[in-house]
Amino acid sequence: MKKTNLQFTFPLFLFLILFPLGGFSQAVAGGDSIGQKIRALKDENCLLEAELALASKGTSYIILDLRTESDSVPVRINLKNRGIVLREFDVDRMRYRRTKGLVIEPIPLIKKMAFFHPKRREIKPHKAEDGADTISQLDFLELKDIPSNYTFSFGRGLLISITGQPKSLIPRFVHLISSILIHIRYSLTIVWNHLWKNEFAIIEIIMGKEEAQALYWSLEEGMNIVVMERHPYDIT
Amino acid sequence: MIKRIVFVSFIGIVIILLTVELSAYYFSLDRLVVPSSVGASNLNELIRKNRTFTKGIAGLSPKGAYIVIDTARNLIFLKKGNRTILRALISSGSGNILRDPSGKGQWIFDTPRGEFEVKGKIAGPKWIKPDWAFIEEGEDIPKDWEDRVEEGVLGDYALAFGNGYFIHGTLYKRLLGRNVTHGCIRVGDEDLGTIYRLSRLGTRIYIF
Repeated sequence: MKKTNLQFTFPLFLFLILFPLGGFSQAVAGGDSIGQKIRALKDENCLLEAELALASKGTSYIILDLRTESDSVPVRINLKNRGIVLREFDVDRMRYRRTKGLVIEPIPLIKKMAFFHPKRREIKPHKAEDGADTISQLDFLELKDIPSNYTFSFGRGLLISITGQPKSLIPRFVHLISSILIHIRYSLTIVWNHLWKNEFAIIEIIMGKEEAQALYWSLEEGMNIVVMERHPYDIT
Repeated sequence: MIKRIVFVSFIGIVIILLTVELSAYYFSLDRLVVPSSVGASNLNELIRKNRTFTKGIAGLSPKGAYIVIDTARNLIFLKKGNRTILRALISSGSGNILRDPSGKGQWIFDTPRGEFEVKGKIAGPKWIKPDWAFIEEGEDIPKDWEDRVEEGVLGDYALAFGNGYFIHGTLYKRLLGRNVTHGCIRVGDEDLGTIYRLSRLGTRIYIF
């Protein structure tokens, strides 16, 4: 039997698999332009209605509007209260996948999941010695103690995975490997949830390390998020 | 032989991963949507609703100046609408725990989060030390009320926002920017003066 030249056929095999992906990324817009405007307005109204309900409560909430995703207008995570923006968190890169479209309504943050959770320190009562520098003895939670890689688990099967990208070379390489592994894990989860017809959505976000730490610090369990997807006919 | 097995296994894993990736990609694709044709009256109704919701949200936002406190970055902002009047470093709650030696409970020194309002404005405030301040320093809790009073540690002004929490001055200016307090917000003298002057009773405070 003739030996197969794997060094030649394997790249060709990969090419034949990956090339059709370019076709999958093209979706044809349907319907007339008035219909598109009406659909956009309906979605906008859903978002505003959800935000009005949250703003009326006086508790902080999050708006993640994926419609703004483009090179010139990056996606931002907005922390808001009573309709005013308290803080905008910049997103460097983002990937959004889901089994079914997300309903435009408030979804509560159920759990913050990280390998290492920041721990509170316990104060040991002691008399301050005369002339002692008590300030240098202070021990308290700081932003650098906060994890920069973690996942927010919301209701309705929504996960937001945050990866804080370090600046130096070796941590960036380690971060790249862990990002690939996380990505594969979520791909498997998408397939699994699709097969079992479960509602599931994963938003993978890469941002600066300090932004990621500040985001973990600022969001509390119980806080609501409203995610506005890019509508199908926006895809070009 | 072993090399061949390793190579085939590697190809197999790559193929499986590619299949999973392609499947996930396909399953998460948006489906084609053809919007149904609707009349102009529906469009007008939608525009009217849009204006109602937008107005409703705008109506909830504070009129006049308001304060935003970012405990992650230890910053305070005095704002009016979208305009920032002042931005300054603060110190906020350490998050530390102090247990009551009598076993009655514990104190957690967090700065509370959410929406508050200025409930009191005090010039020349005096600190009435609570029980935890004595326990933390290993001292006995005084029986006389006057033994709790300490002057000069809260700066020139204090703004009360409920439950014993204040925005006040500090002696420890080099600790501004760090989470070192027992829950209150400490601000530098000059910035505190501006905030005190431009705030009034009912000025909203947002802490996150």
